[in-house]
This record gives sequence, C-alpha cells and structure tokens, in this order.
Amino acid sequence: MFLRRAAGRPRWLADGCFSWAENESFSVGLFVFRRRRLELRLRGRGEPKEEVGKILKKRDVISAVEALLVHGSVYAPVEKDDHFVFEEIERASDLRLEAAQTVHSAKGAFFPSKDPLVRFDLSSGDWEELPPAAPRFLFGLHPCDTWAMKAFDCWMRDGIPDDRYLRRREHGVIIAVQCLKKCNEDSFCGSMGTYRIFEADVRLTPMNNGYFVEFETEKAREVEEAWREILLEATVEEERELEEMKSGMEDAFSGAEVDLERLPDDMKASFYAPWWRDMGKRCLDCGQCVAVCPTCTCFAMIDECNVSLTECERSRRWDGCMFHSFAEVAGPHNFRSDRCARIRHRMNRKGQWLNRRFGVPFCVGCGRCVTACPVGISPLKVFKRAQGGTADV
Amino acid sequence: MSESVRRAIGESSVYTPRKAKVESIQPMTPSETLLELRPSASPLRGSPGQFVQVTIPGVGECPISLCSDCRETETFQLCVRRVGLVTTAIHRLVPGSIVGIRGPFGTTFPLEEAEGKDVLLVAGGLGMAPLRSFVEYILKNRDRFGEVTLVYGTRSPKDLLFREEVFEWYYEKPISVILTVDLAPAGDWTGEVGPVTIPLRSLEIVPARTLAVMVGPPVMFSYVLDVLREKGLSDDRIYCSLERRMFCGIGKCGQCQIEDLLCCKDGPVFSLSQIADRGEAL
Amino acid sequence: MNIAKKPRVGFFSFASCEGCQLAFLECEEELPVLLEAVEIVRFREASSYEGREIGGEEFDVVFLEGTIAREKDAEEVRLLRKNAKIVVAFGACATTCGVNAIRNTRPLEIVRREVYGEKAGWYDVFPARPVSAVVPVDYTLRGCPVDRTELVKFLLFLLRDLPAPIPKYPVCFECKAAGVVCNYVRGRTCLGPVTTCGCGAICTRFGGRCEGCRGILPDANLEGLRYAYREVGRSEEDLKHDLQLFNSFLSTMREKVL
Repeated sequence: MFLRRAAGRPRWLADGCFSWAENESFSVGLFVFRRRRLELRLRGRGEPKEEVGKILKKRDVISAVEALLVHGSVYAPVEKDDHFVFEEIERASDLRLEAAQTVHSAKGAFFPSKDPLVRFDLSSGDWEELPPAAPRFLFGLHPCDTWAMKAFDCWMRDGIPDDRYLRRREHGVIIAVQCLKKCNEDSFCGSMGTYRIFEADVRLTPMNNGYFVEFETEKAREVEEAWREILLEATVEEERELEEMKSGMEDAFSGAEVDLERLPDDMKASFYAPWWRDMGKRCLDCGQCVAVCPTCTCFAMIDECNVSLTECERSRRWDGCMFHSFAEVAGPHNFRSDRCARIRHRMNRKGQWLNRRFGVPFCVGCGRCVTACPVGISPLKVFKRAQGGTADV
Repeated sequence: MSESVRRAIGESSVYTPRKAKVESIQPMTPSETLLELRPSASPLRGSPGQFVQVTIPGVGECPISLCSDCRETETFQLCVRRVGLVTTAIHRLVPGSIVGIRGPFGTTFPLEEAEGKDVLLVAGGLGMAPLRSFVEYILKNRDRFGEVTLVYGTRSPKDLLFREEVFEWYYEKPISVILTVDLAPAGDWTGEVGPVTIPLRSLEIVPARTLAVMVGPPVMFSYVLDVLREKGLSDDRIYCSLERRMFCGIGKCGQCQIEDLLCCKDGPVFSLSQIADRGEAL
Repeated sequence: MNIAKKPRVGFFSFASCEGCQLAFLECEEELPVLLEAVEIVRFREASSYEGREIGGEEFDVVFLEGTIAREKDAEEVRLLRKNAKIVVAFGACATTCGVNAIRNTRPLEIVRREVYGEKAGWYDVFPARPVSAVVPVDYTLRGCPVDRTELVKFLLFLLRDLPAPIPKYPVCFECKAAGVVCNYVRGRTCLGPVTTCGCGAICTRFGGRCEGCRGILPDANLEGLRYAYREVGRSEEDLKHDLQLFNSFLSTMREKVL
C-alpha cells in the first residue's frame, strides 16, 4: 500500500522524473534527477515512520491556519483587489489556499524586497547588524515555488553563503500544495518539469473534499503537533481517490515543449541569433519580470539616513538586470547598454548558465513573468525558439 | 538552526562590515588619493588582485582594489579615484576616521603561475593601483621571477600614480619600467607619448616563458590584447582584472555577472582563456 | 559648501502651480531639522514678503520650480544660475516642462488670444520650456508634485555636499515591488514602463495609472510601448495623447525650442 511510507515518501513520486535511493543511515538522500542525469546531494531528512495518511478537510483549513498562527507568523496567498499576493496574514480567514497564482512568487519571505542589513549610529561611529526577520510558516506554495526555492538555495549557498537568506530559510517551514493542473495559460511548468513538489516540509495534495497531508521533515513536527486535533485519518475511499487524482494530474501536465537536457547547449548555440533583436525591440526594460520571478536573486544595497543625520540604515533592495544602469561602471561604461543584450542576459540566466552551474532549472515555468509582461515576452517562446522552433519570440 | 547552517554562516553576517581606522590619507593626483587602513580586530591578509568593500557610515559602500601587498602587513592601502558618492566621501576622510570594510574578496593575480617566468605588466590609468600590489609582491620575492616589465600609460604626466615609487623602479631598475602618456606638455616629459600599445609593440618578449597581466579601462583591453596575441602569447598566459558594478562581493547580488561568470567571485582577475569566448567580458 | 556655515537656499517659481514648494512645506516632521541646517534666503510661497524681484544675492542652492515661458523669466534663471553654486530643477514643470508644454502643440498666437483675449498683446510669451533648456542644471527632482521622501533624501545629500544618487529605472519596478497588478494585465494602459522612478509608484498603488509626470527615461523604448498599447487594444493616437500630458515637450517641441 503506497500510503504506508516506509521509504519516507510515496512511491508515486518515484515514477516520474525522480528515482529515490537511500543509503543505510537514511540521513542523506540521493536523488537522481533523471531528466538531466544529475545527482544532487540534499540535506538529511527525518527518520522514516510508519503512519496512516492524514486528511485536512476543506472546512478545517481555517482552523489549521489558526493553529499555525499560535506558533508563528504565516505567509500565504491572500486576496488583494481581484488578485492574489503572498503576504503575512493577519486573520486565518484571509488565506486563499485555492489561489490560482499569486502576482509575486514566495521569494519575498526569505528575500524581502527591502531587507535592512545594518544600522549605523553616526554620532558614535558604531554599527549593529539587524536581525533577519522572517515568517515562520510558508503556506500554499505551488510546486514551481518549491523548485524555485531549490534554485534559490543553490545560488545562496554557493561559495560564501548568504547567511541572511540561510537563517530565514532554516527558520521557515514550507507547506506546499500540489497542483493538479496548470495555473493559467501562461504557465509552462509541464515543460520545465517542475509540476511536482520538489521539497517541502509538509505537502498537501488537493482532493474533492480537502487535502491529503504528508509530513516530510523534522521541521514538519511542529505543524504535525499543531494539527493533531484537526486532521482526520484517511479512509480507504479517500486513498483511492488520491490515487486517481494523481494519475489524472500526469495527463494535465503532459506535452513538454522543452528538452531540458539540451536547453543549456541550445541557449549557448543561439546566443548570437538574430531573433534576440526582435525581442529587444519590444522589451520595455520595465523589470516587472524580475520582480515577479521566483528565481531572480539580484539586489542592490542602499544606505538611508534619518533626517537629523544621526542614524543610517543599510538595506538591500531587489534590483534587476533589465535596467540600463545595472551593468554600468564608472567611466561611464556600460557592458549591456543594448536592450537586446539585457533580455538575452536574463533569459540565459534562466535557461543556460545557472542550470549548468547548479543542475536545477532556473526557470521553473510558473509563467508569472509572462502574465506581467506588457509586451508578451515569454521564456517558453525563447526556449522553443532556441531549440529550433520557428514561432516568433 | 541546524548545526551545518550555523557552521556555514559563522558569528556575524557577511554583510556586516568590520571596523578599520584610517592610518593615513594622502592625495596623489587631483582626483586620486592613497588611503591606508588598519583593521581593528585582525589584519586583512588580502592578496594582490583582491578587493575590499569599503563602507563610509551614512554614505554607502563601494568595492576598491587592494593596492598594497598586505598578506603579511598590519595595514593595507587603497588608491581611490573620486568618481561617485562613496569615493567622494572617502576623499574627505582624515587620519583616525573609522570606516567599515568587508573582504578581501575575489581571485588574486597569478602569483604562483608567474613564478620562474618573465612577467609583463600592462597598466592603464587607475589600473596601476591593483598592479602596484603585484609589483610589491614581485619586489619582495624578486628572485622567483625572471624579467619583469611594467608598461604604464596615463593621460598626462600629472596623472601618474605612485609617482615616487614608479620613478624609483624606473631609475633603480629592479624591474624595467616603460612610461607613456596620451598628452605631454612640451619640455618636461622624457617618456613615451601615445597609447600603451606603441611601446608594447616594440617590446621583445619570449612567449614561451612570459606571462602578461593587464589592468586598465575597458577600452584598453582589446587593443593591448591584439598586441599580446601578435607577440605569440597564448590566452592562458594573459590575465586581466575586470571592473564591474558590485554590491555584495560574494556572488549573490548578480550585478557583476559576465555571462556565466561572476566578476566578484570567479574574478576580478581572469585568465583570458576563461573569458575569451564571452563577448560581454571585454 | 561649508558644513560649518549654513548653506544659503532659495526657492523660486516660474510658470507653475507652486505645488512643489507646497510639497516641501508639507515635510512637517522633517522641517524643523532641515530649517536648522539651512538658511532659507528666499521662499516667497512661505513668506509674507510679496516682492518677487531677483537681485544679486549669492546662493549655495536654488530650487527652480516651474516652466520658463517668457524672456523675462529666462533672464532671471540665467541670473540665478550665475549666483548659485547648485541649481536644482524642481518638479515636473521645471524638468520636463510638464503640462505647460501642451501649449506648445498649438500656434502661440491662438493660445494667447484664447487666454488673454484682446489683451493678448500685453503679454510677451515664448514657447514653454523646462529650466534645463535655459541653463545647465545640477540636479533634477522630478514629479508633479515632487515626492516628499525623495526630496528629503536629496536634501540630506545636499547638506553634506555629496553627489546625490538619482535612480534611473522605471516606475514599474517600484510598482511590482509594492505588489501591484500591472495595469496592462487589467487591460489598461500605463506609462509606468517608460517613466523615471522615485515616486514609489504612488498612482498605481492607489489604483490609478502612471501618467508619466516624472518624465520619460532617456533610453525608454517607445516602440515597445506602442506594441504594449496595441496589445490592450489601444492605438498610436492614444499613446500620443497619454504622452502629451506631461511629456509634450519631449515629443513635440524639443527641436523647435532648443
């Protein structure tokens, strides 16, 4: 019975793009990411345990969030005007777990658009580090967001690690919801192979009447504890229903349009292709794609003083490679003064360089940038074009 | 927090500067000043080619190349040109001022690769600042290197950096020095006139045992490179130090990305074989 | 500028609504500290003094608000440039010529007759132009009106005699960082993609669209914007119309005036 999780995670996950091997101590899991033939060493997971599937009924979602709010802040999709955004929620009823897609990704939880780093006391000449505040529970991440978080982890851990990100990341508990279909016509997670949850502390799989709940890691214990009274044990019918859901899901994401294994090479080969120019003509350099992208990591640092010039706060803010000033140095000299070079830079960051460097896709196909772009630029179109497609980019 | 993360990130944040005191500050030219800093806790221990992030509290932070070989010294020197906000504030520092420093960051000049070889250093303008640390290193270990030649070009004689030292090298000849300026006032200049490529072209080198390092403004690189290649130097024997906008110094802010390389982490010193096929690099 | 001596500051306004000066006066929390740090020599909007003659006084900084619409004003601006160390073009009228440039789109004679009737001959006006078209300016503070936060930040650099950094990216980024859904997604047009940031996307955050009061970015992709307009079913004419409000000077009159 696949629900009895002797191997720590259900077998159905092993059928698709992963296979799951474990060594004796089970402290280090080894994924084989078949589609890219790359092995990723991942953090240790909790002890495997035998347990019965748990169900969170739809009617209990609010009380589940209330239970979490007792333990810490909850960062989740809420409705704002007529769309959804990730925010720290104040009331449990604000949660919109059924949100199709948020305008932004969840990266703001661990990488806020403004992150105060240091406070300088200008009268004493002293300074102090500002602690990185972060939400405790990230509730309602989609599979693409979990993949993006993996990409973010790779980037932030590489070389000298970014301690501010890591502290937040360690602190946060990820509660992800499996998607059963694409969020909208802009998303292309099926093509990027990111439609299954990659890593999460707690994973929810939607069912007709609620969510099937799996606790995956040590950090999930707190959630498990908080939800002890709320969750119900899955019945045999519900388990059957779950299996049906999942098999249906595979079809909903089929028809991948990108060959991920070849993508970095194809992007490299088309680096000087003439069609970048067409896109450069349209691109407005507005940087919306950068702001909504779950894997865009660039930032700038800005120092701001109070009006009496006694204090100064240094913060890091999101920045973006789409801006003219981004690659400017004193001189002045600009290494990417051409708009076409900037959009090409961004697309190659998503499709070539970082994929190669870290072995995970740096475009997770969420399609947020496609939705946000006023001139309809889409990474999917670019990837397809780079792989020999003829459609306009 | 898990033990592995705690170990990885250490006590204080990589973004928190540590303190350093201004030992001395002396103008070198109307727009460049030489700053000597003494870190308050432990010495910097930076190697030639690396850079530090200098914070002026209340103003901001900017990356500056080390211009002294400070692997074993208590203090280190920076040559700062006044171009923007932070560098303007740096020029106003006085001895005793407290600044913040982070680093050292980045790769070093090919200190070991150059051993036993002839070294050709090409500096343009402010490029002399980082190269000066390399020259210091060479002078300290003079017997480990063969012929060392410095070709240094500036706009005019008054823009020469490290004037006294450079003239000392010029006359004492621990290394051979060729100076050239774009514009020379009539009379008092006996060096070359014109771009660095002119004296470089007439220089005789043995490509098989020569290693070249060039640092200068972006426009200089391609011209110098042409000459070096003409002389038969292969790309893996040519090094250059690149300049990019950067904030973090540790490969996170993405500002200095050159295609798939990060200037702050994979550079700023690159061998040409690393960057030759990256159109954006030079 | 010497920190020990308070910098001498003057505010002057030309053809404008004087709302930007008002924006400065609205910095109520910061004003006590700022006024401590500077000596305000001239500020008609905030003083009971009613004269507006401009003499030979020396200034460290002058803030020039408004459009230059007649020769007399141009002369005053030139005089101020001579007497001031730093000239700041203050607000949309002074930086992009703002709404005043709409006047330039029609023959001056007709406009004069329309406004002044039979007294049209009394007023000697020429095509409206921003301050920067008359004298070189050291800084531009954009917006209609200027953004208070930006203004205070700017003053803090000025007080320390440091070169103030002026951001050069579009409003869109501030808008997105604030979590606002794009107007284009809603099927509306917006000038955010081509407009200089610094306002914190105040219009779009409160449900409006960006009207471009902070001026078009120097390297803005207007061709791309045309495409975006077409995508939401708007025409070239609509774009021209939108750009006219604050950016007429850029599109129509620049060559004629300069």
